[in-house]
Amino acid sequence: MSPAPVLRLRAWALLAALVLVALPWMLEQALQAPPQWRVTQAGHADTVDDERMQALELPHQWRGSCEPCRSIWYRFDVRLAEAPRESLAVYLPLLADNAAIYLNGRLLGQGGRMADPVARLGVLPLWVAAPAALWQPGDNRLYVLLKAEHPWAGLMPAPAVGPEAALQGAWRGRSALAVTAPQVLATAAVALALMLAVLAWYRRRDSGYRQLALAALLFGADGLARLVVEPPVAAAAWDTLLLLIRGALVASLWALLPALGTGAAPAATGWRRPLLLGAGALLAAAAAHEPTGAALAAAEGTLRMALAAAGLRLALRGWRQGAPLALACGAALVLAALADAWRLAPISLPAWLGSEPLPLLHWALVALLGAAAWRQLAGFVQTLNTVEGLNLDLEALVQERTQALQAQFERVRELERREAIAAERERLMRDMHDGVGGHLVAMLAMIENDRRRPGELADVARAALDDMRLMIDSLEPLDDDLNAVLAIFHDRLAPRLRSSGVTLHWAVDLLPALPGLTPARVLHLLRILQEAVTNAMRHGRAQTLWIDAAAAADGGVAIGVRDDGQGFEPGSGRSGRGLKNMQRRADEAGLLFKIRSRPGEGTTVTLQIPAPA
Amino acid sequence: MVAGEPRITEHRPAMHQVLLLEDDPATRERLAGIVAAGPGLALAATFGDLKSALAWLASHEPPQVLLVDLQLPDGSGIDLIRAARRLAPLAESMVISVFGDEAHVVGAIEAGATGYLLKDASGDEIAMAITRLLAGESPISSAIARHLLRRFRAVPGAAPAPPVASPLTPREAEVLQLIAKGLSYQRIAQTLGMSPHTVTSHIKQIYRKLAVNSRGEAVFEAQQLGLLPGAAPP
Repeated sequence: MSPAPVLRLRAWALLAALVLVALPWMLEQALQAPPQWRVTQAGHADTVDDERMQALELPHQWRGSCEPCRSIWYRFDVRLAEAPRESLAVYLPLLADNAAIYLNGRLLGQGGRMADPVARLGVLPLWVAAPAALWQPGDNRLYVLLKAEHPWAGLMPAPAVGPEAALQGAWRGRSALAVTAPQVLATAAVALALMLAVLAWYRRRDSGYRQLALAALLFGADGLARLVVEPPVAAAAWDTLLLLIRGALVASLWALLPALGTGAAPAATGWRRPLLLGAGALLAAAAAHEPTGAALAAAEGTLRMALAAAGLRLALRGWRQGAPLALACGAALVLAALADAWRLAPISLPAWLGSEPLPLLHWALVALLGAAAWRQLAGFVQTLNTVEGLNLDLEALVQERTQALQAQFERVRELERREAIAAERERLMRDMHDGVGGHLVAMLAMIENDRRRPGELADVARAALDDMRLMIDSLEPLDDDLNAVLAIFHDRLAPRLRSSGVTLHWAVDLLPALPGLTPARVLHLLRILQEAVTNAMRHGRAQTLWIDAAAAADGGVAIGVRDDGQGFEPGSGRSGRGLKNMQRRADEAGLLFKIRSRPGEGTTVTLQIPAPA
Repeated sequence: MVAGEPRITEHRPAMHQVLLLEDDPATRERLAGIVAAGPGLALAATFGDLKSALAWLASHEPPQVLLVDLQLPDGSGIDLIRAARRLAPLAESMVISVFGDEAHVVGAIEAGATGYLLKDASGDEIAMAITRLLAGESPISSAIARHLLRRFRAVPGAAPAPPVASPLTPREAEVLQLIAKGLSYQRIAQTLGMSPHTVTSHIKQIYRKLAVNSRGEAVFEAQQLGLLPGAAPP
């Protein structure tokens, strides 16, 4: 980043910090009671004794002026020209612990229990109505009894006495700023803490959620505990608890600081965390031992200083890194701590700076927590977006790979197809060579030798055609149906036998489907059958032919071709070549071939097709 | 004899008139001889090209049988078979084929042919095939049965939406399927638990429906309308 934008960034961040601190301050001043009703002169004493009353100017901070004080009476003289026609009111914008208000000897009201332990109003403003009947023309005497648990916390603000409606408005605004807003913020912080705790449970490796949840929870607890009027435990124990919560809050905020910078900021490890824990433990021990006012004040001051130091550290890092968020938050912390140290100190402020100050550090902490939560959730969202982006990339990649794979499959399939075509082509060539080719060569030889035997020539030509037909039939789509194969054979055979005067007894059963009945096997089968029939007719001079086919017990099929021809002596020269051919074809097609014959008893050819494995 | 020149024989009404369309002169001569010598058969005319055969069919008394080669110099014999449905609705058409394989014969069957002849079949075989066809005897070969089954998807038990509404009853479809499997009529009768006579009548019924669906829609409709005398299907 070039220097100019960095400078501008820093300036904006510092301005934001200033606004962050100034805004609640200005709001606080805007909500003050109208100045004309404020009473700043009072007398005070430790008893209701007008003789001993000493004059002073309010506000009156006990710290430094009355160390052993537990309660002080204040007396105000309110002079009225005539009796008021409407009800008036008395308004105290800030109290130490509790106060009771008396007018002309009558109790107007009090903040809560006055007996020990006294109610702790803290930042709660007090407002009481003073009915018109209680006032008298001329001097009216207004007493306020202020009680505090610790003298260092005692503070008597300048009360306002005036028309009920005007003061009620101021009281409401102050209540909203000092009570309702912290309550809402603390509740929201607890809710945020619960949500973050769930995230932290599922993202145990990411310590950011855990640390932020802890800080938010402690912030909420601190804010809510400070609004408790009647502590449920003994005062000393309650003070210790408050201090412990605040100490833990400061420590947890320290741990959050690195998360607010940019880049890979180091986590609060190494020597820092033990140091923080040690300081916290020391603080708690000191407070719990004897929670005197001085000890508590010192502890509070230390914690404020720790927060200021944290803010300084954060602001410096933000400055160096050009991280506006860290710079703004850090600067706001430092500014708020400085402002508080000044405004809450026992010195009287110039009038234009206002009075009855509320701590500003609280608002800076809200900004700090909000920034940390924003950073954490932004990181969460960014992670989600990144993951989604990665998912999209992955999807695209998967799609790409799928397409590549598909193309690969296509190539393999195409190769397989080509191989299958090549194998089939080779088979057809071989079959044509064995069958038609052989017949044509024989015909050619006959013609060239001019043996002039037209009958023989026609036989060979017919044999060639028959063989062609067998090849074509074997290529029909037969769907592993042996019945269809035999049906074709029958349709080819029947007319020829009929015209030759041979009787055919055809007895074919319904046969089981035979998967693996390839064209090659069908052709072998048809050729064997054809050869068997041709032998029966030509050599055996058969008059009757029995062809049957039936399912075998093993799931295969048995086909029989029987004739009543002359028969032959197995092993004799005449049968040799044809039988060898049939046997070879049967072997190639995986068929069991048997031939049985005796001279004068006809011939039986049996083919067994085994059941598919 | 010159291809394309019709050779008209003497007309004898008692004989079954046969028209022959074949472009190869030697084969034509051989087939013509076989037909002329065949009992009860007479050669009405022979042609070597499609055009003259069509012209003759349009202008003469229709024959009872057409023997048609498919691959001709000026077109496909299927056109003649198709024309015969209109011009000679009662005629039987047979395809002359070298191999009688389904790829070649199916188109002709679709057009209305009822059978085929193999070119190298002996004279006796050819004459017998024609006379058996005219007698209406067993005209359905296993190949034709398979073709019909495929066309009607009439395979019992495996029937997706049929492309053509099957005109066959389930029983007829079963018979047709067993014919496609090459079973003898006796075996078919045994398998289906009927008499051989019933099988024959089923086959005749199938053939009648086949004729209606492929060849003789006009005839069938004419019969239904009472326009023609009850010409019994072969």
